[in-house]
Amino acid sequence: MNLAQLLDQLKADERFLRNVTRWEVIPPEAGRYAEFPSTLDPRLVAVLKNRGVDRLYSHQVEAVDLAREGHSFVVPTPTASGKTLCYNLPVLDTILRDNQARALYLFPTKALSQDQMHEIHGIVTDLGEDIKTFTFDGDTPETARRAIRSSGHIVVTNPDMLHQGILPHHTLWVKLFENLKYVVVDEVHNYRGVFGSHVGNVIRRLRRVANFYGSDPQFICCSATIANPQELAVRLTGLDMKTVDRNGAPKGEKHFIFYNPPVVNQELGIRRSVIKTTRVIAERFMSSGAQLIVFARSRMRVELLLTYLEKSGRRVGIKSGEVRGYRGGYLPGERRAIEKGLRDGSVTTVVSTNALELGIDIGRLDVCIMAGYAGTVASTWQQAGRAGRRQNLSAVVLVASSSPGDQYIINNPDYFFGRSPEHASLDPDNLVILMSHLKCAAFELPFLAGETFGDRQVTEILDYLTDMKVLHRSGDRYHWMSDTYPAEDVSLRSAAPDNVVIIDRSVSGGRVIGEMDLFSAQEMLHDDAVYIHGAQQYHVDKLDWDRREAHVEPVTVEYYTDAQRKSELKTLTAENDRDFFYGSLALGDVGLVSKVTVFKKIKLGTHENVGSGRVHLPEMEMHTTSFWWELPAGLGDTMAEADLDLGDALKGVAHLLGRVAPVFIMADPADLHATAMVRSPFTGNPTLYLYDAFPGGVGYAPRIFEQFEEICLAARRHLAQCPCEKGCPSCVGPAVESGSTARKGASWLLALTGQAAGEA
Amino acid sequence: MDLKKRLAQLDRLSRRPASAGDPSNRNTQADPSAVASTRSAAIAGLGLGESATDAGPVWSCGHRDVLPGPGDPLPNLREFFSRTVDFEVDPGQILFLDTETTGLAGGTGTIPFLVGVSWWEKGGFTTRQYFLPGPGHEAAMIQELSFLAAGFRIVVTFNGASFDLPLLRTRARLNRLEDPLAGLVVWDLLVPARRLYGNRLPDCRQQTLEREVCDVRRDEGDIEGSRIPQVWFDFLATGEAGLLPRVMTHNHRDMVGMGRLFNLVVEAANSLVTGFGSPDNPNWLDGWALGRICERRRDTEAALAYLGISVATAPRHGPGGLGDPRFLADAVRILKRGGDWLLVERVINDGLSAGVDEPWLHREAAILYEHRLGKWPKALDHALKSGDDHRVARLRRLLDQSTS
Repeated sequence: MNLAQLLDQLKADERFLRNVTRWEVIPPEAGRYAEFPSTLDPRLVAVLKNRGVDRLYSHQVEAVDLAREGHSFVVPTPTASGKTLCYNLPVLDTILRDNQARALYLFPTKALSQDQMHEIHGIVTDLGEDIKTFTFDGDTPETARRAIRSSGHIVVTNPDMLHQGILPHHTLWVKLFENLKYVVVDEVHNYRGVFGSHVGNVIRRLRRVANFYGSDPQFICCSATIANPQELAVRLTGLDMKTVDRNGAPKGEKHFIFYNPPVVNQELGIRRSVIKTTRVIAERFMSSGAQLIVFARSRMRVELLLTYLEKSGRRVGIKSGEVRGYRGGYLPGERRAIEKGLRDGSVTTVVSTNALELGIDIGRLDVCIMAGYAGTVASTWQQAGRAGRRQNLSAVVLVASSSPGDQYIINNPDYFFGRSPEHASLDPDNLVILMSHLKCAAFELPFLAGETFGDRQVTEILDYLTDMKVLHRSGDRYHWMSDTYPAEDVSLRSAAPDNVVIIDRSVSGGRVIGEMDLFSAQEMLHDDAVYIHGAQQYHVDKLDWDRREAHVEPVTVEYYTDAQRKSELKTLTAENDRDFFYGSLALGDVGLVSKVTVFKKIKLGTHENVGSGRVHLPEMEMHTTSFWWELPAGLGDTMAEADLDLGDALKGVAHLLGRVAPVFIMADPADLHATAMVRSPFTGNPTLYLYDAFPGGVGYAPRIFEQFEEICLAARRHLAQCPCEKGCPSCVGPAVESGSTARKGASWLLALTGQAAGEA
Repeated sequence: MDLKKRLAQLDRLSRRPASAGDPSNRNTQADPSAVASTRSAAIAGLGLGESATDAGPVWSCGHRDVLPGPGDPLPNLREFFSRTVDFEVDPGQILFLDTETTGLAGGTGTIPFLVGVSWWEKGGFTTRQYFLPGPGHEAAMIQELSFLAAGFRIVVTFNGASFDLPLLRTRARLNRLEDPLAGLVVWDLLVPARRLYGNRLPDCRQQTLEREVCDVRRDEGDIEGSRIPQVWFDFLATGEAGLLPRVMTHNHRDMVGMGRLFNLVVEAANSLVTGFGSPDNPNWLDGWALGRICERRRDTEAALAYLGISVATAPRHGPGGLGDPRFLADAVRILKRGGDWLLVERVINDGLSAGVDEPWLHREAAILYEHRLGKWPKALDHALKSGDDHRVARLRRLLDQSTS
């Protein structure tokens, strides 16, 4: 049975269709083409024609023209629609004309930048001209670095390397900076939240250093489809940006199926597990012979699904070597082998985290199944883009989990299929981040009094750093004045700079099987945790926190572990406030102390709780920005009269908002936390907090502060649509956690905001 | 809350503090004009004179030490420095240089606030130290260095090829100036120090060399290198000299120390031409080092001569001398080229009896006895100890055949 036949069979399958909330058939689309612009260097055109490119897509021509006119621009484009030519053409054309010209390519990850090298290398080799392209990252050998610095025309790197390895040593890169014509920033939609806020500042530093050497490069950005690619690119680069928004690439027919697992416990509103459902659906597609990618939302889920699908594979005659897992924590060599297997077809099914969502070259597959909503519309489309060979039939299945975000999307498909609703936000002016990068910038070049950083006035912060004796003012200049290397202390990623190394002690001398950031390690590698890697279970014998090592041994047990993190919040200051229909809203700084205290043992297959244990690890401390909603003092008494409990209601609303709000602000639910207090020590009143789960905050809380009316409205509608009786994980949380009156209380509370909003 | 308070709070809560300095030092705001007048007094107290240049004022002071330079012209030093020159070097063309900086991190934000330069002049060693009373005066200092460097052809440093010189180049670029030492050939003393003394010292830091080789100790008035950046930061903040005199002394001693080390290198180069300087007191370590250097330039005869003296005078007991596997390995390797197999046998046996019981040495012995001296039973004995199964099998076969 092939894919078309399988889709026909599913269409006729009543039991399957019962749970499908939307079956969207995206029709094939013919490409829009244009001739090579006459301005393009004929050598380049000849090479492309030789490679079988007879003409360009319309958007590629538009990009070439904009670049030639000196504009910076952003190309929002789906995966595999010829986006790389949008920047490779202008860059190579410029270098062919002027051999001194230089370009810098930024990709969000090391893997991605290495991958992009293949493509451009091919064209350059065919050109036979003296154009040197190099990858410069942590793996670049010391001996090669000198040549790259002086003679690389195109230097491909990632923001982390630019931040720590290039900018602080810019005097070694004179040639590059003096002649820098283009900066290419691919996958810009990844540069949001904390990472984006950091990268925005790294780009401020890059432009500042380039200006010192007398250059002012054009920026070419590529983005997945989001609502505000232009705004994002402007915020990231600080430049005016044009947008190339008409994509001319052809598309094959694609079936996009929204599947909501059935409710198995009406009272508790529990749906069939997303993992089990995905397993069943994936097995059907596996039997059709289609090449398949399954995305799961966490590393642990990848491993669980991999274990299940290996079994499924055996049932339908697929060898276990053809079914592979892929996620962070696998060693690079292992990953390269899997990527290759996908390209040459020797791997038929891959289970991955969003690590494969980015443009790593794995060829294109037939089917994509998502075990849970990817968190944003943009990511979902990117994952969906993994399925669909040029002009061929493809299928995508989104299996919803019971989380409110998933349930919102699965029940409101128009939100998804309509014009992209998502706004990516970043805040390069986040004080913690800004201050870190000002130090790096001062190390790179002294600041002149009155000099701006990007478009930001920074005199006050420079003066503060001078008071702190980090800078020294001499005449009209601020000089770096410390014997440290500031870039070393600043990690662009949310994760702490150091990692825990995972060592398999059963091998003599120990074998490193992976590593993990500190925060995740507390949850997944605590003593007695069962850690799954490559479908192999490992027991953690000891997490040596001081030495950042986890010692593990392979085991076979019938359970996995799930750790709980407990947090305590303290309000520090309020920055801004405004009236709301009910109570008032505020924005400010909070301090947070969190600790992993216990873990549960959960049985494989049935997912029942079969035991627990305590975890003894140090607290993690964080300072961040928070939004809060302060409610009137007498609320508890008023609710009590209606037989409702204020605590339950607040817990319920917090649960609900914590999961609905991320949909609007393009945040991962894990990036935004919600908590409620019956009496906040700071406000003295019942208060509900929503805060950024990153030190210093990265712009989520301010967006909620602005859009709270809209978010409340969506939350209220979502609650009304939920089929459960007394609360479930999809709305206010299960009654056992939030309380038996949580759902009623939350509705009552949210109704107050509705009345004020003019609704019945 | 105003920005300043917020910044302070963020700073306090963030896991890595903004400042590397001691928090108790912070916010001790000194009155700027008071700092300025204290600073002028401190500069004068350091013996620094101010001179005006096109690019602004430069502060410096001079010293003259009794340290005779090497004879004129220098012997060829190609065995010692990685950069060779195609001209005869007059000692007066050599500039010595060492910097004191705000850190060892490298990168663009490290400032050389004290630059020492020295040269041989009229039978003595002249040193000039350029000091920055603040980061703003760097351009003038770099230009001054450029003018000075124009009179020399070679710059000698200690580890400067990878630290001081790239740093000065970076600082010049930041000030939009040419590299002040661009035209000079770089001779880094770390290279010959390793070749000559790497075999006998625990490390090749300059102070270790001075202590162990030149017998010069720096007890009084010096300062640990790691404390130097903070001394300048404190001076900038308070205007008080504090420990700056010690930093100046430290730099001055570094300069003189480089002069001494350079003389030793020249002496070693001369002894390559003339043989040992003092035949009455041949030093086995010098012989070893020089033998290795001759081996590098493929002068087998000289290498054999040095190693011959070295093995004759090296201690026969204890961990040094023939008990040192590194020495033994060099000696066996080099002496084998001479073909004096009895000498090689003696050295190997001395090594074995000095306690070097390592498979490679037994292997050397087995080869020697099998192929050179034809003593198969001894060869078999060592082959067994070296764990070489093939050789053991072959030797047994040979012995069987010869007995039958």
